[in-house]
Amino acid sequence: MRALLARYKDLYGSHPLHLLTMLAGFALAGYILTIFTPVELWNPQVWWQSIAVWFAAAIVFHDLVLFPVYALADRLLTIPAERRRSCRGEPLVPALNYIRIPALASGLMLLVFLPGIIKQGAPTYLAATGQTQQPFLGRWLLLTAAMFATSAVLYAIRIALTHHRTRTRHRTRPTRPTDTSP
Amino acid sequence: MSRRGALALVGGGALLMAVVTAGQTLGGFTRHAALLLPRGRDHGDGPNDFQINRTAAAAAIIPEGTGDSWRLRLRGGPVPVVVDRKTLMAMPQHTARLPIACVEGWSTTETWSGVRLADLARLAAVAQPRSALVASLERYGAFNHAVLQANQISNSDALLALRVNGVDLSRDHGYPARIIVPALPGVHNTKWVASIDFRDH
Repeated sequence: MRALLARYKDLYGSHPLHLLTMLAGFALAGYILTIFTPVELWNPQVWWQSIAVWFAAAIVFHDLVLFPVYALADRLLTIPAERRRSCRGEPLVPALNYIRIPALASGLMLLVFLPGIIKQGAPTYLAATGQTQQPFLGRWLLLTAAMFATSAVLYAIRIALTHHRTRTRHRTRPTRPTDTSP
Repeated sequence: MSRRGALALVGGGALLMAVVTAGQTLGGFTRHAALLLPRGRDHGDGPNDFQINRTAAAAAIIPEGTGDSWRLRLRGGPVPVVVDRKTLMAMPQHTARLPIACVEGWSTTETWSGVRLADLARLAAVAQPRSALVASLERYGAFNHAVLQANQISNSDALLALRVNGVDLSRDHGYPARIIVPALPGVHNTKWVASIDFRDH
């Protein structure tokens, strides 16, 4: 059995799971091609409500606006850490991912639920639910605050643990071995 | 960023999306986790305080149409039968715990009671209805009527509901009477029912 697997790996070049994943991927792509005809990408009544237009606009908006913004923000986050490290020369717990993760999660929520947060389609919303979209902006802000707060607590715990570890390491470090030989 | 980090980030994002959306259809305490969605919200603590898919005001249902003058018209038999709400309440009442499962992707399960559709077919003197056209008081809108099939009429939990969770339906939930049938898309559970046409074809 093992010899057979080795033969197979020699022939194919990777684990059988790789082939299965690829086949599943191709099948899914094929399925999408069967249901996704170019006609559906275009709305002849209202051109700007076409999937094709939104897709193209999303690419342009991401590459021209979003990418520079988040790349710059990330760059600003990494600079102070580098500077501090070079000044004090001791290893720090990097705060980078403790900021990145809540920021990304908050951004994802904003992106997906933007229409509710900025109260788009209020009459439709009222007709369908009997309510207004009033709470969503506040909820998104609270959710963002909660995610950053959780991240800050985790970061504080991480720092405390690192401090504790370095201190115990210092204490248990053996003193210079004494020469016992006569 | 490492490949593992990227995978964890995408996976985490997907998980977060699941947490803030699944409550819309799971219901119960998880409903509150759908923080930023319309169907994650509370309407109150009362028996009629659950998700509405179309308000009476939006459907232009006027109070005069649903008051004491409201009548249910049953057609399909030798003669049309017209009944008021009191007569319906005097008929054998059946209770069923059924969901409104909306095609929007949310659902809510409630305890409904009212008259079995099969009993109404008998009242209309249609022995074996093959289908039924249910029409609402709502004059406009794509879902102001729905067609039920034979098995949907004969199911013992298929009701013309008059009450929910022990009280009369509220206007937004279809007072004076609404359809509730197992495994039927929410919009086909017609509200503010005005007439039912039983057909034997």
